[in-house]
Amino acid sequence: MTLAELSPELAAWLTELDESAIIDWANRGLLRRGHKASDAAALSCSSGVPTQRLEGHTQKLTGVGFAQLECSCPATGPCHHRVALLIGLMAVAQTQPAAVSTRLPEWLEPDSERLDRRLGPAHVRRAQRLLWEGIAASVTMELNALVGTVTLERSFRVWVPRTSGLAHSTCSCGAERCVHRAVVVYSMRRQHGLFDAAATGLTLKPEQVEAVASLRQWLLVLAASGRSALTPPQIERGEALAVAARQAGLSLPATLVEGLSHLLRERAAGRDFATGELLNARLARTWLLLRAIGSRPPARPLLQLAGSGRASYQEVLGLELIAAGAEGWRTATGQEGVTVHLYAPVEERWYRITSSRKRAAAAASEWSAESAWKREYWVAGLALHELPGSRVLLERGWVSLDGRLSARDDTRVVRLAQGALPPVTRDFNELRRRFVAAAATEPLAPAPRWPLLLQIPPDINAALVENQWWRLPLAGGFCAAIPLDSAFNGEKRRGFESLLDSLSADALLFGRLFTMGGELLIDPIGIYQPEEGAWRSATLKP
Amino acid sequence: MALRNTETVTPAVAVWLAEWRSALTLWLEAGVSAPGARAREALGRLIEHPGSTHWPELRALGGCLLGEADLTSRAAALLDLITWVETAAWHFELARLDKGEETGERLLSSDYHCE
Repeated sequence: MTLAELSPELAAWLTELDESAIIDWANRGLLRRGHKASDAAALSCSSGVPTQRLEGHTQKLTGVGFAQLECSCPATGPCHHRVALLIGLMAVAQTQPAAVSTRLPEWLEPDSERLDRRLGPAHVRRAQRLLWEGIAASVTMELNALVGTVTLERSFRVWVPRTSGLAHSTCSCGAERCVHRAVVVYSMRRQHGLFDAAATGLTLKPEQVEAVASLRQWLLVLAASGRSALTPPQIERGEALAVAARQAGLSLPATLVEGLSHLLRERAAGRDFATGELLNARLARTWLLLRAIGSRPPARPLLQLAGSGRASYQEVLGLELIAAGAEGWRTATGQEGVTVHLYAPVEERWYRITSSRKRAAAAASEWSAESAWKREYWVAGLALHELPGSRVLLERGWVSLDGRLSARDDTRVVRLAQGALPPVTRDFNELRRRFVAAAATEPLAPAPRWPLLLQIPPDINAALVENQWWRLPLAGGFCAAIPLDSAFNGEKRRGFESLLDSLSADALLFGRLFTMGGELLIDPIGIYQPEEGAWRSATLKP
Repeated sequence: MALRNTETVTPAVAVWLAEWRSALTLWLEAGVSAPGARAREALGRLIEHPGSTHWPELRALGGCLLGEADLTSRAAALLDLITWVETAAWHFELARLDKGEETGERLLSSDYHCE
């Protein structure tokens, strides 16, 4: 048979069809079986209707689209017979393709009214809000189709054929109409200047408006009455407002206000670390963030300002990771946890797996960073303490905007061969330049703390204690430094010094780069001993 | 909490910023409703400081704090002022990392803008 026997619309659809769309409509297994079966199929055409006999059943394609496929087998939906018919017809189309329409594809029509009706007005409204909030879709306009991937809580693939359009599009969610199609279409319209999320007039949701207003009011009360006059109920109100903000999807402002409340309580109790300077710095960041969220339109995409709530985790597939060192930590604001750092060599980016608790809750449940390190798993069969030194493939997982890896039930990890190391930093000038450039671009973000691995010089000098800081001079004018402001950090210093006492040749320091007082310093996490291939932590026992 | 004695690195700006931070800490401790004479005097002096003359918004916010505006406006002005100074301090720290000691004088000149 030839394509010329078919209607121009059907011929165009078959020319544009690709196997991914068949997978989205059927599934990968049926595609595989369809391929095997299609060799034995006898294809013919009668009155413009392609027909096939296969395994005693008859298949027909009576019009454009998957819904027009018929098969005499008992299956009511997709079957490998129908898939085999499509594969056979695609092969015909590849040898004698129909002319692809040169008219403007419907997703680029200047007037969106008809397009919105096809997508579904409710899906369009939701998609526009997602784009306004900062959801990113990956979209490409191929010769024959618009193809896009949208990641909400899962990733979905959308395929819209150029000629037959949305009516015959597919999405891996399986629905005939969905928000994913609308996000892909509107992302492409945005690329072509046909959609401006900022001009939609969208605003924060009412509960978000209320949360921002309440947090701002709480800060104004603090500034008006003064820190020293703030009563315990006023401080507690900050914590209650933070809970409401988190429930409204504003997790970053919530975290900042919780930290401020804790700091105010500690300062009221006369704790040394809770200085006025620290309070001012935290206050500034919170106030600036609330102003940025409250401005119309928000100063940055809302998802970026609202922080890494559960909904903002993105699905990742096939991410190779090298697990490096691990650390136990405590914050001045009452959180305790354990973190394993992992490096993605292809992306050249660091990720982390963290397990943490509020210290009060941890004490009540006998949870500790040390116990989590020894007993908790990232996924089944992969304990946290087994990770350092491992190379793993995250077949499927979820990651927050700031690089936290989740441990959701659907996470799939495969352990690869051992032995890889993250890159060792050798060019300190380049490091300094990159750090300053990154820190200067985003004044709202917390100061960067970059994991890095560097050679410990063989002629290492003695450590110094100066102005309540422990400092160890390293290469390139950099120092490892630990503030001696808490019992925990005192322990950390002793832990790190004992690691230094038993250094092997070519040992590497693993730490995080940060800035303090106009100087770049390294917060030491542990060391790597090449002879043993072992990662040692300053804060966690092997 | 600077690790080095900032006066040996960038005297003018480091001292100027440190004075702003101290003054604003006093204001936040007492609150704008009753800041106290010491806080008012420190702020008045800083508004007239030569380093502040290049920054009209800084002086305007300081003026609002010392003026007759209503309590909420003055509270907002204090929070804006703290944010301004902390952001400037962060940029200053990065500039020192990037350019070294001469940056201090550049920050005081009007062609260097903290956003």
